[in-house]
Amino acid sequence: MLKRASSTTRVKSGLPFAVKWRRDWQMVLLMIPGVLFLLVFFYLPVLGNVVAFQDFQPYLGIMHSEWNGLQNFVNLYDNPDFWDALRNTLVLAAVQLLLFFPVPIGLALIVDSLVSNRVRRWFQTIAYLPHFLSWVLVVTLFQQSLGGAGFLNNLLRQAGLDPIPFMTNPDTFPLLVVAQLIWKDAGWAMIIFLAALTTVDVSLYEAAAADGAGRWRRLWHITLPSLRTVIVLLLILRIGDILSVGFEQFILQRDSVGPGAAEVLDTFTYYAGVVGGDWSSGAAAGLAKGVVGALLLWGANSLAHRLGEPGIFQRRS
Amino acid sequence: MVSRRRFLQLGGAVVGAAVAGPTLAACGDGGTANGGAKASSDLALPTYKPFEGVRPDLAGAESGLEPGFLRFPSDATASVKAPPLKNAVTALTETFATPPPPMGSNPMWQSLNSALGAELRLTIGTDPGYPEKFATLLASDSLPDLMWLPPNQGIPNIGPMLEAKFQDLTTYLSGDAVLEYPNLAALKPASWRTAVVNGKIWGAPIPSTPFGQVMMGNPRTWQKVGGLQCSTADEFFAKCKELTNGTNYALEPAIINMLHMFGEWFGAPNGWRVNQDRSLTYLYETDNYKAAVEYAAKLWAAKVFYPDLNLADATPKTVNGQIAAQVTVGPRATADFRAMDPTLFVDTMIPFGHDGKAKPVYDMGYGTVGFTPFKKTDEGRIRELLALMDYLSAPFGTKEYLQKNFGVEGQQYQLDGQKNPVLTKAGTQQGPGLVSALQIMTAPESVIFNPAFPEDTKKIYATEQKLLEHAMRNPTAGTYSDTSSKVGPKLTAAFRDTIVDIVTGRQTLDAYDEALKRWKNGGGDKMRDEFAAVLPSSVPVTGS
Amino acid sequence: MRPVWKENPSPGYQAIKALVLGGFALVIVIPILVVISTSLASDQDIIDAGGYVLWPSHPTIKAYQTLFSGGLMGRAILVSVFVTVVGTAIAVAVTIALAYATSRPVLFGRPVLLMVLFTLLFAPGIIPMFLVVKQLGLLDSLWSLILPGALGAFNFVVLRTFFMNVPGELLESARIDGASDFTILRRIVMPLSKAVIAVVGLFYAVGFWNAFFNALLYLNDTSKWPVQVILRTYVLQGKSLSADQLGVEPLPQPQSLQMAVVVVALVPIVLLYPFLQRHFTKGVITGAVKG
Repeated sequence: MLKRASSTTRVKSGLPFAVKWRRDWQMVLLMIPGVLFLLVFFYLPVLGNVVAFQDFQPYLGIMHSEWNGLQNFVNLYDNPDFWDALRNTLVLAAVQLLLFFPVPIGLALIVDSLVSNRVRRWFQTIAYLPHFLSWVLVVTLFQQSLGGAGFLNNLLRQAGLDPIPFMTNPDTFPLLVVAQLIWKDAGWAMIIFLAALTTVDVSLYEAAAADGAGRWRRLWHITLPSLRTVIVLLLILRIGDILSVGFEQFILQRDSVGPGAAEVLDTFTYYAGVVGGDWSSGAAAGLAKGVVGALLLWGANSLAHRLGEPGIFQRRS
Repeated sequence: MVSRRRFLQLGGAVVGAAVAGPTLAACGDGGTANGGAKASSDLALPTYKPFEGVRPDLAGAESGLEPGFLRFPSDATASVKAPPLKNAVTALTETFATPPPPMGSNPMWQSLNSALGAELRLTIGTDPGYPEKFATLLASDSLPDLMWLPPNQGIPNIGPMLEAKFQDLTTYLSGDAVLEYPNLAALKPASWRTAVVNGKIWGAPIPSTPFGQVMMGNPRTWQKVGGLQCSTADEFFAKCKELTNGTNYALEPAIINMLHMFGEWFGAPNGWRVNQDRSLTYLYETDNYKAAVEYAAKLWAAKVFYPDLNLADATPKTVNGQIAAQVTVGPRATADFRAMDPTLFVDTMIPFGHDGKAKPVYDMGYGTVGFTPFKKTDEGRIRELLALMDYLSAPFGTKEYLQKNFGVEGQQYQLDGQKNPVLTKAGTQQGPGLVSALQIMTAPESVIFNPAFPEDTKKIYATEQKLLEHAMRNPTAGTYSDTSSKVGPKLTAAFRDTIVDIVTGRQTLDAYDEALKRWKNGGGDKMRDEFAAVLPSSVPVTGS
Repeated sequence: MRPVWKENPSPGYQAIKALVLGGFALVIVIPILVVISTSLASDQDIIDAGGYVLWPSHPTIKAYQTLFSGGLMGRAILVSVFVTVVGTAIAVAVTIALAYATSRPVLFGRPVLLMVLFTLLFAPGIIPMFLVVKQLGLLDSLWSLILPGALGAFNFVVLRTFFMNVPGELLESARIDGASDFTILRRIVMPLSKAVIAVVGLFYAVGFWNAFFNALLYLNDTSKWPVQVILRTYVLQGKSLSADQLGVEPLPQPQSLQMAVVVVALVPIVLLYPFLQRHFTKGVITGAVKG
């Protein structure tokens, strides 16, 4: 098992700048290309989000469009549909966290325990395929198998049973969404855990086995702890992004289960703002989401620190 | 799959709707961005002078009836005297086919350039992404000479945008001035209304078929129940029930489109109804439409709709009989079924009164796919660009039409046994992407022409005549409402959500009035006032 | 080979594992088979099945011939490969450098880290981005597809976390031996993180391969369009032609074209994966740490 980077080796806060510079100039040099990219291709254009406080018209440009203060945000707040969409988004995100998030970890553990390299390779390659299919196709394929006129329901009909409305029942919609997500992305999400598992020191298993630790104890005491950092990291990132549960997947199925269940923030923003080329509303929704995401990210990160994890952003030591 | 629908929608009815596509939702009903408060009365539309160079086998008519050609006119005449261009022209357009090979390696494009006299440099957008591409070019101030402006595709505030960035062409096109460009003069006044905003003409319109959505059915399926055509809604209901069994269903699950058809049987207006006192009533406010919703819900409850609402394309299922009827863009869509099964000519439903007595309506379509405004420039350049539009708008049967759509004989096309041009292998590679990009930014008035099946042309012509007996046009077409352009699409989307909920049984019919109230308060009432204020006196009171 | 310390699995455990993996694989393979079958299906097959085909009874490669006729596709594949290879190389290099430099408590480390994390939360709009690309003179250049994607915050965070996991003693002893930061990165940190670098490389490569929207906005010259843009447009073909435009040869059914498009977009990126898998072997670290 690896130890985490020790933070004690270098920083003695309070060192004069010149000393730090002499010590760290190579590191600073390494930062330059990345920082340059960020400044040019992110920070410069992200300033354009000021249109959230305007009634932006492309033919006028940012300089000549009218300012309207917080009006775009007020419109958002005043719309009852917005709150419905928010509720749906949070419910779906919670279900995703609970039911989707553990799946790739489980898959990675099973694959990792496989002895045959051939089977491992085959399974990984197959599991990774669906990630590359578009949502349109994934939804279509689900419909072909589970839809009202799909394969399974036709079988049920032939057997004289009532068809089951997998694809149209608003109550079970979150489960459907998660099933689609698992089908499409579990194999893909597994890769990162497999990579983390490669950092486990095999000699630890050997030693543990010699001490009489069985399969489950080794899993509990060696494998899982070594995945812990990555799991926490991905969890934090997911929580910071909790207000995005996907756009295409929902807009494609919105009619078949109704907006009551399938309207999420991204589809709401689309209909309320983007339809009709309302750039300002789109930007306002983006900013609001970013602020909420920042708070959640900060909260999740602090929680991780309490649990003794580094998280994504460390406290000053 | 989503994209195709948007393409179909462009030529389709104003009221027509999409089920699944993001981009599609942008096609709202009232959002036609043309006309203007003082517009309609003051402005003299370009003088209409039809092209006399070719004689159709089946004559067209002012009513919208499209002329039919059984074969391509044998000796194509020239409609333009000289090559229109001296300098290269840049244009933003969109292709709905595979992008063409670039100009440098595309002999068909090069031959067009030499016929034009200079290079036509096209920036070709695709779907999705066109409104974004349009907006970025606009915001970056690097406008090409010509930019295709699609109708109702997420480009708001067209009036001020045109005033700020584009050229007012009124003096060059209004009244007899247009006669200098005979092919533009051959575009109908109904088409020109598209290109009028704030009482000024901003470009040449792009006509498409003036017919709106129709219901089509596979005759082999319907023959079991005595044919597709019905005379009462109850009869249709009974036939649908009879056709639905096992894995076969009567109706395509495109609810809004189907509802559009039912609305016609129940006498719902095309967009707006003009009352005796010349006030307006919107489609959603009529009892007729509400009755159609109730009828659709009844059909849904009877399980005659194909049960998967997300079905991307019903055409193959209609061909093989799994679905009995679907809604298509218009009477000419029979060709889509022919393309799948050359032995199949599908039937088109003619609207009928729901109780066998009431007067049905048939909603005509938008009739154009927008117009192409010019970047602000000087008179010499304006005349050069107008000459280019004149060339590219050359009517069916002319030399220019052949050059634009088929290229050069022996290279991109050859003549078949009936002397009809057909694309060669080289033509199918170089042509479709280019032609699609050119057709969407410039077009002559449409015709009916099915070279491989001349009989179809006759049948479609006959269908169009029958549809025209019930034809109704949207009375606000060619006028402009600020509110409609701003919030129309949004309100429509919200109202449609409720309708779909009602039809599919997720909400009861009680939700209808609640949704209508929201539509009114959200801007519907304002829209009505704005449209009523500019309603041209030439628009008749809607019969009932 | 089963390591000596690993006990033989119980039959029950073995069965559950086989069931989970086998079931998962089956549920994926059948739909993928439908995709491939439909791409090879004849018109008649598609009409008979009403759309999607499980097994083509009259297989044909007409859809693929249509895709590759006209010469546009060959060039597009070259463009996509170029953008993917160069883009991934640049992005991985930039990300490694930045992730390493911020994985230790160094000068400017925290503000730079914050700078990157900020990008997770907010996104620049389409129009300002277009203006930047235009000002830099990158319009109609393939660099407009590469440079804006050269640093992904997610990849950065993942890589940095792995770098932080490299044992401190290892780095400390290297420093004592007089190794520079560059050397430590090249000789110790990177070899120890081969698997995750491979994963991040894969993530970037997939991103570059799948991207299409930037190409629509920034490239006017269709000969520079990548595969994904071209592929998307094929879905429309056939339906977009009016009846009088149809050529001598009938076009394949839209369903088979669509599925052929899916297959063509899938194959190159799937071929990439086995090459990366070889970095996923266990015990790489053992030797290094102990040696």
